[in-house]
Amino acid sequence: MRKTCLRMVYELAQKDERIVFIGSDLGAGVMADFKQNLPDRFFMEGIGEANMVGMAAGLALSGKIVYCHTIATFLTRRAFEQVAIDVGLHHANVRLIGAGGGAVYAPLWHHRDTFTADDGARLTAALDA
Amino acid sequence: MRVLYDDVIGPKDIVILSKGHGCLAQYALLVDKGVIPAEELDRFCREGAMLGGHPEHHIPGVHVSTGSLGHGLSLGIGFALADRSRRVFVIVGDGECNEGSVWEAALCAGKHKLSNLVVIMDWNHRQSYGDLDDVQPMDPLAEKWRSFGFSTRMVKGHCMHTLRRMFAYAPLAPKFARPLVVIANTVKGKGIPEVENAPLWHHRDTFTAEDGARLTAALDA
Repeated sequence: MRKTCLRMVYELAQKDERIVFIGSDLGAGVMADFKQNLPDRFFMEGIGEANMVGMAAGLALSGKIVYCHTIATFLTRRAFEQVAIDVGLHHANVRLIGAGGGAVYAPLWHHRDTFTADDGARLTAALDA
Repeated sequence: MRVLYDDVIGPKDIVILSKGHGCLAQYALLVDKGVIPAEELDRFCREGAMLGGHPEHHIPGVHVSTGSLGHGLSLGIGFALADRSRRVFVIVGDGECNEGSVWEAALCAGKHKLSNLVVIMDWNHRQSYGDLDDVQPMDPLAEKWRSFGFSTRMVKGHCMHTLRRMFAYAPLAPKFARPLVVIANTVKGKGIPEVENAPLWHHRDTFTAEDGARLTAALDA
């Protein structure tokens, strides 16, 4: 599913030059064609989600459409303030893609459960504010 | 900030006051430049007023809402990457640089060789609770920034002449391929002896008419 989703981002980026992708040290090889063919719009940043989300907001407030990809809980928890303020408050055109909602990252969730309702609710509240 | 607004920034440039609690200085300059009406200063922090205790993006001349510390540099990186022909100035506090997100951003700015980005660090040696050296020492500052890929300048933050001369070379020319940090050595509350370096003046909200007269007199002295 992640592969299909990111593939779709690449397809959209080929049609719209405003589209930019930012990742956070994930998905080796998955976006190889994006990186090779649209290098100016492909950013693979380090393991620093707060910076990634803030940077995405700055790009979006400059007219870009930014797709941000990392592990879901890093968006809902670690970088939550950047999501709420930098993206949500400014209504910045940032699309957040949270991966790892299933069993592989189960220790990140409250219970050995998948993406929990409270994480989804938290993100929805931040972006609708 | 006076030098920035008078002599440096142009219409394409972006100023981000990441230490948003310093917003009164920015509001005064925006009034001075005719961007916001002077009457708004008298309504500061009142119900329904344009100007609150931290800058908000709906205020003319304010690009992003700030005040939650550690956000401005990452936002500035986004602005700088989106258009490398614009110049981006991000003003951070020395206490603010306790935040880990500042250093995530510094790593990122160094990596992208953002020669159109200038960080201005207000090195006033004080944070909210007291001295930096007691709460969270930040030395050695220049070495820290340099190791993250920045060029560094240490300047006297109250010397307008020095600042004007320094900003003539900021940002760096693209051939240097690195962002610049200006570490401005300042005194918190400079110009009013009873306020200088006094932690209780980090936030003050109630003044009598006599207080106002005394502070104004001290500034004029």
